[in-house]
Amino acid sequence: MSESLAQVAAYLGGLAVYLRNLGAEVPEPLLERYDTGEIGFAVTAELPGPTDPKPTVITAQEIWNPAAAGRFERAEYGYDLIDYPANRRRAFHMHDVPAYLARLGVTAHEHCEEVLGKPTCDHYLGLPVYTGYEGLNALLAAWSDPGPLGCAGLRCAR
Amino acid sequence: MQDKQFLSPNDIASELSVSASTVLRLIHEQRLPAIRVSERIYRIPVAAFEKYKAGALESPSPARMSPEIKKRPSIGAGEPPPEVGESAEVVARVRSA
Repeated sequence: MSESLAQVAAYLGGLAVYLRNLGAEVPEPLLERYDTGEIGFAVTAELPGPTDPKPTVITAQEIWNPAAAGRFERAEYGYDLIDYPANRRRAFHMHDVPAYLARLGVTAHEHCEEVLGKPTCDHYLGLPVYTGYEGLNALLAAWSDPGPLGCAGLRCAR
Repeated sequence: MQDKQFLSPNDIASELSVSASTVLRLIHEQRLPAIRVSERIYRIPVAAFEKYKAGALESPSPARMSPEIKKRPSIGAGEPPPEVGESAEVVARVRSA
């Protein structure tokens, strides 16, 4: 689905406020224009709660390709949660699509580390995440659950 | 409540002296920020509830456009795709399961 520049700017502003209203510290988001003609953003927020050894960090990064008539389509994303106090990581990614399609037959993949920095699998097979809200909410749901992330239940792609 | 990081709709209902269904309505109307864990489970960060009680929730506004043109970033930088993968048939079976 394609969106106008104004719609992408409103969407990005909405994502930042969504996180802020959940108590996160979020810098003012900026919609960026790249030398390729694409647009995109990276929003990094610190989540409320324990800060030892560091606060939990959540990041939403997207790149939108130009489509017809001044509109843009979301082409790549990375939604990442690094839960330093619980020492774990979860992420949903879609990037380098032709390479992943050729090698794994999927466009999206996931990361899951029950122990931060010690993944038992480099890439898990993933299904596309359709909006930033969906990706962030899934990461926040993992963050709010003190139990295991459930990495063992995912399908390792290699 | 002070030791908790997250609250349930029932916790909020007790705090506000309203019913749990009223709290769920506030969540569905996006007047109370909440994390949707599943179809029927929501968790509310204490920090979000404090903002709600203080009337400090923000309304969305469009992001500003950066004035400069930047080099395109690489999402997943330093994370090359796997060299060897499963066959497309295996992946198709997983996706359809």
